[in-house]
Amino acid sequence: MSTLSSSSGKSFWQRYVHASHFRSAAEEFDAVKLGFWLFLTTEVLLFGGIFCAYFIFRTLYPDAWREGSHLLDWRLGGLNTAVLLISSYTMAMSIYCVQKGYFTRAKWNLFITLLCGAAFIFIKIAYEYIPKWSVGKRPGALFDYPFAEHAQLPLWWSVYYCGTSIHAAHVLIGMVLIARVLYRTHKGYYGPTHYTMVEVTGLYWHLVDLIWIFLFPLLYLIH
Amino acid sequence: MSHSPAANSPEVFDEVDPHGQHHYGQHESHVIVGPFMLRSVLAVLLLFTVLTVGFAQAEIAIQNWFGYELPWWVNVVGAMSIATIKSILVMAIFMQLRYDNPINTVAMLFCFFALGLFLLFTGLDLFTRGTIYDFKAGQVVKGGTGQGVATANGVPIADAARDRFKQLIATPEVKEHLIVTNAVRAAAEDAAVHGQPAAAAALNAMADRMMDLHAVKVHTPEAGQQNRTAAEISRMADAMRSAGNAAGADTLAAAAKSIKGLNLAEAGASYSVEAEFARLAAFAHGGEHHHAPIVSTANESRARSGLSGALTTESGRGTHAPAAGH
Repeated sequence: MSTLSSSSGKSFWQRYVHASHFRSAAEEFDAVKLGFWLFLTTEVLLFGGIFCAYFIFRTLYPDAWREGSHLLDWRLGGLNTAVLLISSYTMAMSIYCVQKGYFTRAKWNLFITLLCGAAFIFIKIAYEYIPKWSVGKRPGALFDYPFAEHAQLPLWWSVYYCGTSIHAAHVLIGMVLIARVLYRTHKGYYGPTHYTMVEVTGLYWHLVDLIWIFLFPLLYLIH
Repeated sequence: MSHSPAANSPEVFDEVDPHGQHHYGQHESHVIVGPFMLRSVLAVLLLFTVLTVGFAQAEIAIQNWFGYELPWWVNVVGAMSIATIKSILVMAIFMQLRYDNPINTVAMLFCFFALGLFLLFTGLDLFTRGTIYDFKAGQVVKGGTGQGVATANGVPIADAARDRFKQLIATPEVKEHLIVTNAVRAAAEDAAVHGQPAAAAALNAMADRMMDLHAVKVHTPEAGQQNRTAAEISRMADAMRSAGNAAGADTLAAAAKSIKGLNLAEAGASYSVEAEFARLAAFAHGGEHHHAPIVSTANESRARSGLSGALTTESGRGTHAPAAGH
């Protein structure tokens, strides 16, 4: 990759030349995207294991699942759903803005996306994990909640923490990627003819949203 | 595909571009999804979120008001259908699959097919255990042990947590805390009866705070709760007096006095761990359930729908241990 400074005074994206084993930048872009979609399929299958565990235990212990779902506040889950949906929109908007060369707007959209990610994590930890964990609503052998009505409630919390914490880890990773894209957009790396990383980061972020679209009703709404 | 047929020039063979697809331009052939489309999709996604929450709440409302319980699958199918529509929108527009090279869609569809297969075979196993011949059935542990996670001593962990908590509320400090809490609650009821709603609300809020599981379990109470509580109510009385509610302040001052004069030994004699546990459990559930508790009949629904006996018991073990304290 070339360096940022250039005698021609052009930004990195204007001077970007695709890797030599591709015929064109468009072909490179397509290949990168296909590769990333293949990675996303493995992500779906990773969460697929958790969804399958949910399916099995819900089938076996419907009453414990019902009790567990009632111990969650759908208002917090719903708020986080809205936060993630808005962040998905701003992410998609930032791609549009980079494609059009509206760099200031692109940076604002990326920044709002980051803020939404931070808000999601904050709500999750401050209003859900900490209050629940501290009164004993914990997974498996760590369980210490005195008012369980069903013996399998610890199992519910195992699935809950497993699913939501792996999802939250993805939110954090996505935030790191978005921060990187924001920094590099500021530095002039991306523009109308070169925005592969912006789009790929967007795909990752949308996947995080996609997983939550299923986690939210499964954990908070189905009873 | 983004390749533009118009750029083909079959006359000259170019070994770097044997198929004649010179799209040497950079990304300009890609579709740019505009703000209007993105905003519309966001609006629809938010609308569907409201819908799915409304759907779940409506089901509870129907059950509470009309006493009619919808079949268990209505909730599941409704929520999952909405989630599927939402995810298709995200993938098609936000993730641009609609405008992309179709191979990406194929990869994702195949992934969902694999996931479906995974869930299908899991379901086949789960839902057909009842049809296994009796002589084979012993090899399959139907529905797990039915005991949940156990401690090292073999006690179900939910029971162990309950027993630990009962030991906790029997300790002198926590006992004092809870006796004082009940006295505050009684004073609140007294204030309400005597037409002092402001004083009653203040005392009830205080009792709520003291009954909260955090107060009892996490911030394990210290000795001397009686005097601290009386002092706090006195301060509340002063605040109410300076706010201009003299009658309310008098009620609070009287409450503070009665808390201070409470005979702990006498009150402790009639203190019952079981009754206190039941009170705290009811409070915890009232605080956590953001809708009226509904009678759990999920197991019966499943029994009716054919997912039956096989999942429930083997050699008399139930799907859940009997719950105590309710």
